[in-house]
Amino acid sequence: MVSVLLALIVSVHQFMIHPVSPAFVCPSPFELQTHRERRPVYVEGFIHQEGITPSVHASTLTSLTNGNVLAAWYGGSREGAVDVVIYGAEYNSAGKTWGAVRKIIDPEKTGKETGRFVQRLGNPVLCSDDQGGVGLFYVSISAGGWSYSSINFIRSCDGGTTWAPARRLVTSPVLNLGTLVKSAPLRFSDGSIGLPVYAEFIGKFGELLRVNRLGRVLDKRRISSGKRSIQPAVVPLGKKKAVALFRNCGEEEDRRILRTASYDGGESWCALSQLNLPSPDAAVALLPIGGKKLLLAFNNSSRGRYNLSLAISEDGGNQWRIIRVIENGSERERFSYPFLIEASDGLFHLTYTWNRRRIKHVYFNRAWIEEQIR
Amino acid sequence: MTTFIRQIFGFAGCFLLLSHLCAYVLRRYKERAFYRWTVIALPLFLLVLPVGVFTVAEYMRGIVGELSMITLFIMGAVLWHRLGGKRLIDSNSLRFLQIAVITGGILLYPMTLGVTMMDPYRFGYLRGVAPLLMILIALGAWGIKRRAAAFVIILTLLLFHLRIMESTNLWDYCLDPFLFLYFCVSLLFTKYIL
Repeated sequence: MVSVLLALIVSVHQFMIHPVSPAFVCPSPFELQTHRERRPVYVEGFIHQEGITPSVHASTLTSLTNGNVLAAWYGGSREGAVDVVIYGAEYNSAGKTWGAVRKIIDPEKTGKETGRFVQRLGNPVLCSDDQGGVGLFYVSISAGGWSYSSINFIRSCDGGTTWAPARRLVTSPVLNLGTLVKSAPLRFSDGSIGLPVYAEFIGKFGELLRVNRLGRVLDKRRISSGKRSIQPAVVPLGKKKAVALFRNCGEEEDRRILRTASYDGGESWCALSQLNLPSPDAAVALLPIGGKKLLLAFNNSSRGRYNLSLAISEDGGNQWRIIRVIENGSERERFSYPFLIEASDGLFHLTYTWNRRRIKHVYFNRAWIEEQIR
Repeated sequence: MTTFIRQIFGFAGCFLLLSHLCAYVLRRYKERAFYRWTVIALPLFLLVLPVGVFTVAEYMRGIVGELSMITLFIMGAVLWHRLGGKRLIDSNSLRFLQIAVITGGILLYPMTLGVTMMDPYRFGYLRGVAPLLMILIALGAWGIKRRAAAFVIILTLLLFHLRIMESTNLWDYCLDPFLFLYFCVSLLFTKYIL
């Protein structure tokens, strides 16, 4: 009976201190430093030279406290190969140049640090926390395909030079299988990180994990259900309002990007609706740029990933207007997995996979966006 | 230190699985002196055996994942009994745990596959509500004289509060697919469990 009483006391105590769901942190245009250059700026380039690895994919970005931008992606002989490693490079915002490519983590190191066999690595997602640290969430597989994935986390306190040992996030009761990451995280008012994830184990749907800066899962909310909505890109539009767009991996012939919204801090989400934008079973990147304005990078074609475009919405993601075609190649080319951030200096950075051979980097400023809207 | 303890509990599942396998294979030699030591020492040796970069334990953990605390307690108690020790969990308590785990699994697993927007797994993160429910179940077990079951549930709850596993979700402390399937099969095909 003593143990029952002890457990009762601890549980009641935990019940009393359990916090109310925190609000989203939504950067207002006034909080963002505006890029000093008032004339439009739009520059294209590559993060690295061709040939470092035969195949690269799934780039991610985050802004560092020193004003620079850190990028990460995975590279190896091909997607899903055992030699795939996560690489990183730092962009010097003052000199406008990328530093040397360096290895961040490989399957063996992940396995040794998490105490289990890890065969392959997948999508990485970088994030910056409220203590100046940089976190890297990334997918790993011990056996099987992407449906058997788990998420791991490493954190750096020196801008990505050194990393603490990896830890595994437990996100599913079915042997912790089938959860992946792709899209940029968001922040909650209590300092925790909102990590959009998606399940690919039988069902294909999106979820929003709430994780602390050390990678411990605090909560999880389902944002879609069924078998066709993956890789949610979730952005806040207010303290309690958020919008999510999905890659549509459904069976239908004419796939469209899927959208949902939450008005209660992510506790509940509306039913999925289809946008008037095509989704060739490809990832999208979404970024709030003040007020109800959203910037979207997506593949603007029904089939194939040969067209990568930027679109803007001024009504919270319902209606969209193409403002720029970034790439429009032949049908055999692939420009995919875009990732968008606004750096601390107010410049917007877009990276994407360029024909699986290189990671392309594009940056532009607010004046350029406004010029495109006009 | 906490990470080290979590790793120990993570590998405990692999050790218990191999021990039970050894005990089953060597069951004809139950009365022989070497039986006990083999059932303990052979799995330990196998687990630290390196195969390439990783050990057997790391391969096993990569495939099996983490077993729940209740699974560890049950497997530990049964192994103890098989090695000649006292029966720590009586059959009535095991039956109680079996019903509780099957009920939990039926509620949990189908809906975690994304059929609906309802996700019972999230309930395990709500640190106040789910533990209080566990205490009510433990009190129920105590009330109907399933005291070993009550003890297992309360110990699981205390270890959850100490965050002894990688998971921060109470469901992962209470059940796993292996335990759920084993209890389902044993309910269907055998009169007595374990």
